[in-house]
Amino acid sequence: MKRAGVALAFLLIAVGAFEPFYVRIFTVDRAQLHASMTALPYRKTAGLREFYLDVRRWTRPGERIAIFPTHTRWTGGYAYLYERALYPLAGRQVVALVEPNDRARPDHLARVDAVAAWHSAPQLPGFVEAERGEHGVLLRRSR
Amino acid sequence: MIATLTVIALAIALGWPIATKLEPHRAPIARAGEAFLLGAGVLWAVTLLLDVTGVGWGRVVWVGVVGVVGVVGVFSVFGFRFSVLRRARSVAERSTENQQPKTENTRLSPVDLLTLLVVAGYTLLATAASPWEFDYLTDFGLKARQFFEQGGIDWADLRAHDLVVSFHPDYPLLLPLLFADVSIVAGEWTDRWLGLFNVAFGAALILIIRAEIARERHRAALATAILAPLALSPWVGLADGPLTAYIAAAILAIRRGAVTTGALLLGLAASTKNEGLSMIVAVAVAMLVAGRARELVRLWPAVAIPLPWLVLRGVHGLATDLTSGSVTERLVNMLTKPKVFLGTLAKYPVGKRWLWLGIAVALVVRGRTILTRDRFAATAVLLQFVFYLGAYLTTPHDLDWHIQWSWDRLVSHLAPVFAFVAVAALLENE
Repeated sequence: MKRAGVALAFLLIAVGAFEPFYVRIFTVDRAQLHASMTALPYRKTAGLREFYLDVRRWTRPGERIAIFPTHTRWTGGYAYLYERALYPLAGRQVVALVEPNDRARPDHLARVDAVAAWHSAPQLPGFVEAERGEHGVLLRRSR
Repeated sequence: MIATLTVIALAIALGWPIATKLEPHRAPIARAGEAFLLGAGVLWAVTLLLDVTGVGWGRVVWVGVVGVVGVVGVFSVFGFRFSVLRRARSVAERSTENQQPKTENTRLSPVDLLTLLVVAGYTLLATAASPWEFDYLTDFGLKARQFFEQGGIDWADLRAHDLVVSFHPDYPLLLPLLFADVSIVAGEWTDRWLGLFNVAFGAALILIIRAEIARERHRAALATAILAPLALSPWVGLADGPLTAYIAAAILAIRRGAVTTGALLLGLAASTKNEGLSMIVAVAVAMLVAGRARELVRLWPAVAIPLPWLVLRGVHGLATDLTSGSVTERLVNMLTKPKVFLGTLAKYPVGKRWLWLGIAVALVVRGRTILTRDRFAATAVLLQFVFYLGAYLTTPHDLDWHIQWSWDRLVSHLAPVFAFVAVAALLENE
C-alpha cells in the first residue's frame, strides 16, 4: 500500500512539474515564435511597437514626450499606450496626458517637447507635425 | 549574444573562488551552479558600488574593476588554500542535520539527457526574442535600460513612475544591474539575449539540485529531470526565476550544514526581490524550529548584503507599496471577510495542481521522514508561504487584481524546495 502511495506521489510530481512546451518547442517554427513573442506585449494595438521605435528614432535622449490620448480613458486603452511607451522611449521622459481617474491633463502639454500620437494626427495649439510614419505622427513645439 | 555570455562567464569566474573557498570539497557541478549565483552577486555589487561612489560605468573602468576583483578572488583561494581546507572540514563537522554520507555522487547518467533536453527546450523559449513580459518592460528591463542610457542609477526616474503599478521603485536592483552590465560590455543597449540569464539561473539551480539529490540516493538523474522544469521560470526577464534559484539554493545549502553559503545566497535573494527579505526571517525561524539556534549568528551575511540597498532606498525615498497607509487597518478589514479572501484565492490556480497533489500524497506516505529529516527546509518554505498570504491580507491594491497577477509566480518561488523535500523523502528507503 505504501509502495503504491510512493509510486503515485512520484507520478503526480513528475506529471505536475513537467512543462510540455519545453519539449514541444523543438517542433515550433523559430522565426514565427520570434515574431509572435516580439509582438506579444503590443498585440492589442496594431503598429504600436513600430510607432514607438519611430518615435525613438525621431527624438533625442532627455526630451519630454507626451503620449496623445488616442484612447481617452485610462483603463479604456490609455494606460496600455502609456505603459508600453516607457521601455522603447527609455532615456526620454514620457508624460501622460490622462490620469488613472480618467482626468485629462492638457496642462501637461506645457512641459513637453513633443507629442507622440499613435493612429491619430491631432491639431494641437503650439505644436506642428514634425514627423509622420505608417502608424502615427510626432508633433513638435512650434517656434 | 556574446556580451550576455561574457557577463554569465564572468559571473561564474568571479563566483568560483568564493564557492571554492566556502566548500572546497563540493562536487564540480554544484560548485558551477553556486559560482554563477555568487558571481552574479559580485557583478551586481561592483556595478552598484561604481555608481554610488561616482566612478561611473565606463566600459574600461567596469572591466578593470571586475578584473581586479577576479584576481583578488583567485589569489585569496590559492594563497590561503590550506587554512581554507581546515576551515571547510570544521564546517562540515558542525553540520547538525542531514547526516547522509558527505560524498556527492554526481557521476553522469544517460537519464541526465532528459534534463538536458528540457534545458535546451527552455533555452529556445527564453531566447525566442528580447524579453516580452509586461513586468520586464515596465520594471526590470525598463530600469536597466534607463540606467544604462543615463550612465548610472537614475534615482529621480525611480520616483517618477507612480502611474505604473508594476514599476516597483523599492525593488532591489540585482537583475536590472546585471542586464545593464551586458550593455556596458557591449558598449550599447542590447536586450536580444537577456533571456540567457533565465537559463543560467535555472541551470545553476538544477546543477545544485542534482548534487543534493546525489547526496540523498541513487536515482538522482531521474529525480533531477523531474524537478528541472520547476527551476526554469516561464517569466523570462523577470526577477522571479533568479529569486527562485537563490531561495532554493540557500535553503539546500543550510539544509546540508553550509550555513555561510546559504546566508550569502539568502542575502542575494533579498537583493533580487523584496520577497527575499521575508525569506531571511522564514529561514531564521525555521532554524530555531529545527533546533539549530546556535547556528543563527552565522546568518549575518544574509542581513548584511541587502542592508546597503535598504539604506539607499530610504535615503532616496523609494516607497514600498505594501507598507503604504495603514497596514493594520487593511489587515483587520480583510480578516473580517475571510470568505472574500479565500474565495479570491480559490478563484485563481495555484500553479501546477498535480504537482501539489503529488506533494500532498508524499506528505501522507512520508510525513514522518519529512518532519524529522527536513523540518528546517519544510518550515522555511511553509513560513514564506504564510508571509505571501500575509502580503495579500494587507495589500493596498485590489485583492482580485493582486492575486490574479502574482499568485502563481509567488508559489513558483517555493515549488522547487517543496518538491525537492517530497522527492528526497520518497527516495528514502526505496
